[in-house]
Amino acid sequence: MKSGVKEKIREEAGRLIEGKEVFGVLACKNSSGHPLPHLFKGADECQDLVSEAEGRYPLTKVLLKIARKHPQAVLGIVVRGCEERSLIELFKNHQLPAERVKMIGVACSEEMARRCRCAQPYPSGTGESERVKPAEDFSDLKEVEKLPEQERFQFWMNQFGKCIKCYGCRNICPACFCTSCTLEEPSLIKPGEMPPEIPIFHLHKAYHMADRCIDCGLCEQACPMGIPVRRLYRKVRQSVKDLFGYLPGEKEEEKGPLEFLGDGSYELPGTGK
Amino acid sequence: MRFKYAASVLPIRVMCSGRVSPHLLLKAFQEGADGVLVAGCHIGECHYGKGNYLTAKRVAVMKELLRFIGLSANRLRLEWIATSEANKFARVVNEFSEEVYKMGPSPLGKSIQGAVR
Repeated sequence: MKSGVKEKIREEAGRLIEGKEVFGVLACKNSSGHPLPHLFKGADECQDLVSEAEGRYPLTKVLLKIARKHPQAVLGIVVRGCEERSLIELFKNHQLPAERVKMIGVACSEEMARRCRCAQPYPSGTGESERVKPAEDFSDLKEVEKLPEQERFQFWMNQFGKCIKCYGCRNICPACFCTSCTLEEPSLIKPGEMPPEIPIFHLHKAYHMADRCIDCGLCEQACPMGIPVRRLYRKVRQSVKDLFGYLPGEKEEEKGPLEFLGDGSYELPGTGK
Repeated sequence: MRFKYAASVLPIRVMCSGRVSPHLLLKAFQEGADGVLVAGCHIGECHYGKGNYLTAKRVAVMKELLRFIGLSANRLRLEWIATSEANKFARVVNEFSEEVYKMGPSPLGKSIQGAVR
């Protein structure tokens, strides 16, 4: 974050807090040189507000937790492109009313965009000058797709076999907001097995991500075993785009295609003869 | 009239193809099914209104997912078969079981899975 931009964000956050428009502003705080998520409640505190360039946090997930605890409070949050997308998904899925969130947008640097392979490294509120070029690239998907079928299966089984069932990918996911989870349903996934039932443990989550994944990449960063789960979610996100022309996190008024029944206009080619 | 169909099939009756959650499809494959056939009412003829609209979308996404992880997408099939189309049911089941037979056992089948783990 450039220093001028940083000042502007601090100012904006301070203004929201002083004007009593919000209960607090959620952002990262410099704590002995480390950025940590913090709910800023006083305007003087805002001097410590920093960007989360080095360590990434599921800020929107933290926000959801605070919002559930304080059902009346209006909350401010400093958002990047991915966080704005995840908020849109939360609004869409009725987890959080949009009126209760005040966003302060901040664009990512070019280096951060490249590291995340981000398709939109800026939230909608930022000015043209701050925006950097998207760095979306699908080489990771193509790498898997060009393998022959059997090798692809071996590749994924070897990757999934590393799973220690820590639920890290689910816990950090900003699009996972359910209070009860399929992955903990004993009739689908046998409890107490290590590794979990592969590949379906990961496929259950992947299917859920189909019209929700905002492609932030936190899951892969959180995985202690280095399983490339993001590829799986990117794939389903991409197939939903190809099949239904829908990308999660884009428009607030558009519903995910797997969330509603529809008008029957979508039919598989070659069936229904 | 009683039609004969392949004996390798385990029919599971549900009230509507909309009831077939993708998690059930995955579970079937995990339990070692070599192929899964989803048979629903024709589009526009759903007894419950629109259940099969969702099925069509779900199966399409699921096929892409299966293909990506290296299970052949042809192991999953969706067909619209009405109550009165007993001969179509028998024909589709025979065709599909023949096709699956040619593909060989699923790599998730119990014996092979033991080796992977």
